Amino acid sequence: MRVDCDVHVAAPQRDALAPYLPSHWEEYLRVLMNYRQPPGVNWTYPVWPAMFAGPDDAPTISDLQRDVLAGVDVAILHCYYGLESLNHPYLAPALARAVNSWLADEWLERDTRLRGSAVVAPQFPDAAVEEIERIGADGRFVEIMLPAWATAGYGTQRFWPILSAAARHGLVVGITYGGLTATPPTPVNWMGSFFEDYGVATLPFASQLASIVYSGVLSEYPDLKLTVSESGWTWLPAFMWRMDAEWRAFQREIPWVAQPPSEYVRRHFRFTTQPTDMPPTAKEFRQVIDQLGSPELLLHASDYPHRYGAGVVELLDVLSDEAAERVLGGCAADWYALDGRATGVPAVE
Amino acid sequence: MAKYVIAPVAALPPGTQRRVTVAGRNVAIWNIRGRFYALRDVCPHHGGPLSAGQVVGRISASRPGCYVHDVAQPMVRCPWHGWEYDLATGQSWFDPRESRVRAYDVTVEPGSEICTATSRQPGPYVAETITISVEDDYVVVDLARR
Amino acid sequence: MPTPDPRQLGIIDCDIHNAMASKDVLRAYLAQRWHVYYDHLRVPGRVQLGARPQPDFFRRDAFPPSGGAPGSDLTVLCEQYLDPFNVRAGVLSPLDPIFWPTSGDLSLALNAALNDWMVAEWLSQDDRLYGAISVPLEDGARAAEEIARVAGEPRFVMVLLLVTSREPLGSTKYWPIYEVAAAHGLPVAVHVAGFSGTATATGYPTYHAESHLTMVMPYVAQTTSLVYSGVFDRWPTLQFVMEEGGLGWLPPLMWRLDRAWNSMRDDYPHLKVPPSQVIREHFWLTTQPLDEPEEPAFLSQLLDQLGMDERILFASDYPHWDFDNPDRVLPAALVGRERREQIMTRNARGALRLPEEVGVAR
Repeated sequence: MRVDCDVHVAAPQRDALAPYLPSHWEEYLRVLMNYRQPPGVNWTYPVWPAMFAGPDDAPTISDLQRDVLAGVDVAILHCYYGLESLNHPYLAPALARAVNSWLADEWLERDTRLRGSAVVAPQFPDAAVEEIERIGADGRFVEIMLPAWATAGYGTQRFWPILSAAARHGLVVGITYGGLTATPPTPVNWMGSFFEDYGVATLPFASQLASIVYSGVLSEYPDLKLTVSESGWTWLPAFMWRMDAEWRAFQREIPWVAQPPSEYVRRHFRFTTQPTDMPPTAKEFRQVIDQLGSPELLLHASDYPHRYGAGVVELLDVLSDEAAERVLGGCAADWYALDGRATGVPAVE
Repeated sequence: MAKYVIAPVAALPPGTQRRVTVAGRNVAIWNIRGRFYALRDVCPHHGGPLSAGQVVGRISASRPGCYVHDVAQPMVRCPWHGWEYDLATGQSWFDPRESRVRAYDVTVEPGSEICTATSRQPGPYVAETITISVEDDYVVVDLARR
Repeated sequence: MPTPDPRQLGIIDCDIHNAMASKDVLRAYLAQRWHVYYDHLRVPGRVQLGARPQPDFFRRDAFPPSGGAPGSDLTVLCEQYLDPFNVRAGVLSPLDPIFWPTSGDLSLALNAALNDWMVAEWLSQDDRLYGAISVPLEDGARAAEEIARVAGEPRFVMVLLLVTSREPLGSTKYWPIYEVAAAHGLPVAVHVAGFSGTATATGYPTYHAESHLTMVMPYVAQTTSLVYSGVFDRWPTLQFVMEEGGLGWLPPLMWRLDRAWNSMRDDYPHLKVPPSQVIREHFWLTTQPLDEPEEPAFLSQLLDQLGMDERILFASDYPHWDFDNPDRVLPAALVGRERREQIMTRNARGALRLPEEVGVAR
């Protein structure tokens, strides 16, 4: 099986969401706010960098079928909608519900090879759980999206109901690139340019890993699975070394982390391959994969329509054929339980 | 020939924690509520002196927030990086396959039995500075591998 | 002829922390008008992150019998560290300023007093000792003034900044520091500590274990900021020493920044060469805390990936608890005798203005 674990759908325009919103919000957004989309969307994926999709570059279902689905059996759609950047406790969940319903009707319904990652507003855990309960039975949703940049790590206890609900419904938790909150993205506050923002964008992923692993939520919900998406991933080996070395000194504070932290990472996390922050030589690339421990941690993704350049092809080149096949879809089929999931449509061969 | 008399028992009362040098080796000795422990006084990590470390009870948790504390299983924390070792076995209490410090058997033997040994008989070696009295008891460390 | 062990040649340690035995020590160097403010310093609110497993930063066996903080007693420093490990040059970075205001006249007075104390009670007392210049981090003008005041003391070999600054260090507010440092041939050392009002990209960690892990993160941000900022075009001789971040965070950052540069060169034409090239020409790393991969061969691979063999500087971080024992870290069996000797005895001469005779074994 071939699986593309990260395909981007452009955030829907207001009128596309209108049928899925309660009437008072539909009117409010249209008449009072001249609403377009949450600020998080443009912050996370600004329109001008060549590696992202431009404003006229919102692929349609036909584009996807031609450019992505022709080569895979399953593609997982991510529609990043920036809900974490909205503070209103009733508007944010209403938009989450609308986006997920729109995604189901306008995309998942149109091609049986498509699967969805549901959006939630994590800052309102009760509403997020409600939304997970709502879409949880729809087998076409295989994941929920939580952006890496957040006001707190997702290991923090108030998020546990969200993680628990996801695990209960067999939904992978996607820790995704970007996000926008009122809190700064680095320990030294705000950077001064997009180049710098992009350079430091691995940091929220590392913070989330630490938060989730040390919190013990992985022992509370042993079925919980997380996919770290669009992170560059080559920072991971050195981070795991550090986690394990320091854990020995600090284990007494967090005795429920009974094994080296890297074991929890290997058991509960997977990492998509696009982009790959690739070393300059094939030799070093093999070393990094070796340091990672196993290519089983990697899930192929195109990140369509983003254009990140070299990395994915080179990765597959340095892997054995067998390992490459696992990365290209075998791992994802297991991770997302693609064969066994009841979707109401014939299972993909 | 690996047993060494360290000191009279009275010299190592409960609460004792210190380094002794035995046959050229640094050994950390503890008396915790009357029970003696001895570990090689070199942390396997960076060589820190365990004799300057802190003794704490073993801690575990099956779930976040559910702490289980067992003072009957004392651990020592290295004064440098805080790595912990079971005083009785020398095993690190996390990842026991890996980090381990040599633990030595420590016994208390009466002077009368030590005195009857000659230099050609198996028995505890006596440090030059210790004069054995048949009436007293002595702490004996066995440097042989367990 | 086999490479001698660094212990025989004498090691250069780029990060040792001396300290005042008590707060009172500084008064002798501080004008009377500042004393009452010094006695009642206010620091920004600090969140207690988790349950720290030790009461302070120190190894438990480094407390001097005379009382006072570890690192405050020169005799103990010599007996416990400099002598037994044959340290022929050690760079002292006092971390007392991390509890001080970081801008304004009071900050300047305190840092100036500390620098005077350094010269009087440390740098002039043992010819193995060198020092870092303490400055009001968030006050570029006053920091520059202080650097210029003391840079003539040859035993000051670097400027000390804290890694967690209020803004990324590429910001123009810090440029006066770089101008005067470059003028005097002093590298700028960036060390763990500081208060920015924020902690990580996901707020404040819950546990101390988690927060200690995140200590490496500001180095990623600071390096990115400095590379982008153009300071190296402005001052081509300017050098930075990233201290106490370890090594493993840097190769993936170089790979990522080079990829970003490849993709966005036209958007940022002032970035004329790959970021990795800028890093390899202007940055140094100290070794502590040295990365400890479970597979020993990975350490050597890490050094290969860095491609900065001449720019890696040994540091112990004595007397902190997480210090690296020079005898145990960088074993020759893992990294090779040549690399071990280079990192522990030679590379610092490229970064610091050490006198010629430091090259002679004691």
